[in-house]
Amino acid sequence: MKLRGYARVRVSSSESLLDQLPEACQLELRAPLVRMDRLCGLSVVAVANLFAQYPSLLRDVSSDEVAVVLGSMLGCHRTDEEYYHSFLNGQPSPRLFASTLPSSPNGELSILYRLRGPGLTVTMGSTSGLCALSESLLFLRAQQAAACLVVAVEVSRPAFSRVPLEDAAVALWISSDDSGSSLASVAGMAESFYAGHAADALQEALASLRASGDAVVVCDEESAQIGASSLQNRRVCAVSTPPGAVAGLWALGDALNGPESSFVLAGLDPSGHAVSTLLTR
Amino acid sequence: MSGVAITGLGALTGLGQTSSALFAGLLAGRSAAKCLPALAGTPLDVGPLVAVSLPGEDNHDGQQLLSARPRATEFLRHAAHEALAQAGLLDKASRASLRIGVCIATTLGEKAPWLAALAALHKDPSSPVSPIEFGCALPAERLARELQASRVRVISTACCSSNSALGLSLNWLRNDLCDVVLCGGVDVLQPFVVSGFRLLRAQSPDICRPFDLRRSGVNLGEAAACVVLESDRLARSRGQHILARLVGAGLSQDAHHMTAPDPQGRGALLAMQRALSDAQLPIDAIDFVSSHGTGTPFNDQMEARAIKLLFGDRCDRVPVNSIKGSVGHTLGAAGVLEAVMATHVIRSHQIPATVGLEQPDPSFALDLVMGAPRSHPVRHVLSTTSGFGGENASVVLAASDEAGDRSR
Repeated sequence: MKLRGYARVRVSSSESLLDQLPEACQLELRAPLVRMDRLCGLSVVAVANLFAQYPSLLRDVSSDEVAVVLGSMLGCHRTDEEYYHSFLNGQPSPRLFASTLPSSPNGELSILYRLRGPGLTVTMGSTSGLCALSESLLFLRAQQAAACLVVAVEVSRPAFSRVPLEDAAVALWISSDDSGSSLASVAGMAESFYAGHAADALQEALASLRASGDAVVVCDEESAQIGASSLQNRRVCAVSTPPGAVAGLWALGDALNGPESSFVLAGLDPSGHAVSTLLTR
Repeated sequence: MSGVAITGLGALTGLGQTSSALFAGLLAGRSAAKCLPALAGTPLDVGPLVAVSLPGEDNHDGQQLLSARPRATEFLRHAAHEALAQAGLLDKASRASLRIGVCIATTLGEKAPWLAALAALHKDPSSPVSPIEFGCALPAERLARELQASRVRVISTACCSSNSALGLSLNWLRNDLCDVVLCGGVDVLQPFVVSGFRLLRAQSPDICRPFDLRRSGVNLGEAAACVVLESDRLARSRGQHILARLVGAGLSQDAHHMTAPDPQGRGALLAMQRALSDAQLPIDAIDFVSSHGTGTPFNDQMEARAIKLLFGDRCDRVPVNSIKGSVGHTLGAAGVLEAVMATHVIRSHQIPATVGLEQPDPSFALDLVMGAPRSHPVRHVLSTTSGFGGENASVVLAASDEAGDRSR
C-alpha cells in the first residue's frame, strides 16, 4: 500500500480557517467553509491542502472508488455543546443539530469532491487516527476501495475533557496502485489492547509487527511517555504533536521529513490501546 | 470473499430483553412506541418514542431519558452477555485462548453524564468544571476491558454505523486479525437527539408508518444488539451451532446532501450492489430485504427507488419489511438489530410484518410485508441502512448449511 500524499494543518482556536485554504481553492471552497462547523472546516482545509499539493490524486482514480475514513477522539463535541446550549436556552438550532455527528466531515468531503466509496468514522481515543489508517488498509486489501482519503481531526476546548485538545487535522491518501510516485509504503500494521496497561499493549503491537529491532520508533511525546518501559531498548523519535486522534498521523509528517528509510509509527491511548505501523521508503 | 458464522445473538429492545423476545414481538405485530408521561408538556413532548427498561429498572415513563445514569454501557453489556452466552463464550475460561475483537457502533455513546454536567454549567456558569468520562468510546471500552479483547473499534457513521461495524468485523475475520468478534450497536434516548430530530421534523408526532402514504417520520427508540461472529471452522471446532452467516458488506456515500438522501437512491444502490459483489451472490439469490424503512417521506422514497433499481422486474416479488414501526429508529443499533431479526427469519422462514404500514405508497411498487407475518423460504437476506451525511451500508446474511438442515 502506497502513501501518495500528506498534508496537515494546526491553528489556534480563534484563527479563521479561510486563511488556511490554498489560494487555488479560495473561490470554490470559501462559501461552503463559512457555513460548516469547526470539525468539518478543519477536515476540509486539510484535504484542500492535500489536493493542492498533490493535484494528480483525484485524477488517477474514479471518485466512486475513493473511501473517506475519518478518525477523531471527541469528534463534534464543540458543535454538540453549542447545540445543547441553544436547546437549554429554549432556541434549539437546526443548523447546529445537523452537524452533531462525528461523521459530518465524511459527508462534507464526499459532497465537495463527489466521493462515493465507503465512508467510515472511528471515534475511540487518541489512536483513532491510526485506526482509520488501519481500516483503510483493509478496504484496499479487500478491493472495497481503490484509494482512501484518511483524515484525523480534533477541535479544541472540550468542556469536562481530561485531554486539552487543539484545532488540528491531518489528511493523507493511500492506494494499492503500484504505479507512480509515493512518499512511503505501508508495510504492515499491528495493534493490541490491554485495558489499563498501555505499555504492555505497545510492546505486543511492536512485536507483532516483526519489524527490525533497530528501526526507529516514531511517536508523539505522550505515547513515548506512557509506553516508556516498552521503548527503553529501542531507538525512539518522540515528536511534539497536537493531542488526540491527530497525534499519530501528525508524527508521520515529521517522520516523512526525517532521514530514516524505514520507521515504525506508534500510537498509544491511556485506555490501553496501541497501534504500530511499519513504513518504508 | 468468504463469509463468517453467526453463533450468538443478543438484543435489548422495546419488545423485550432478549433476541427471542424481539422476534416474538415482531411476529406478533407489536409496537413498543408510546408517548412518555414524564415528557408531557416539556420541549421533549415530541410524539411516540420507544423507551426500554433495563432489568430491575422501573417502567420507563420518560424520567430515565432525563437522568445522568450511564445507561448505554448497561444496555450494551446486557445484549453482549446474551450473545456471548448463546455462543458459549460468556465464561472467561471459554475465551482464554481466543483473540477477541470488539466492534461497536453508536452515534451518541455515553452522553448522559456529559449532558447533565453541561446543563449544570449552563444553570450556573461559575460552577466548578471537573473532568468526566464521556464520548462515543466508553461503552465499548468497558466491554472490551471485561472481555480482555485484543482489538477494539468504535464506529460512528450516523444511522448506518452498525452495518458498517458488521462490514469491518467481516474484514477482521477474513484477514485473521481476530478469532471471534463481538459486533454490536447501542444508542439510548437523550434530550439531545430527541429535540434535534423534532427540529429537523424527522420525528413523527404520530406512530411510525414505514412506506405508508401517511408516513410522517420516525419514532426514535433506544436499543442494544449484538452478534458473535467467528469462522465456520472455529464454530464447528467449539461445537457451536451456526445460526446464520454474514457473507458480504458494502459501504457507500451519496455525495449529495448533509441531511437529505439522494432522491435517485444512487448511493444506497451502490452499497447494495457492493454488498452482493462482496458476497459473490447474484441479485436473484436475495429472498428478502430488511429495509432501513425509517418512515420519513424522503428516506422511504429513496430506498424504494434503490430497491427497484437493484431488482428491476423482480422488485415486486422480493419481500421487503421494516421493523422501525415496532422498535423505533434505534440509530447506531439499527443495523445489528436488523441482523438479529434477519437471523431469526433465516432460521424460521417467517418474515415479520411492517408494523404501522396500512396504505402502501403506490408509487413504490414493492412487495411490502404487511398485516401479518409471511411464511417464505429465506436463504439470503439483504439488509440496508442509510444515514445523515449520505452514508450507506448494506450487509448480506445467508443460511448456513447447518441452519438449512435443521429447518428441513
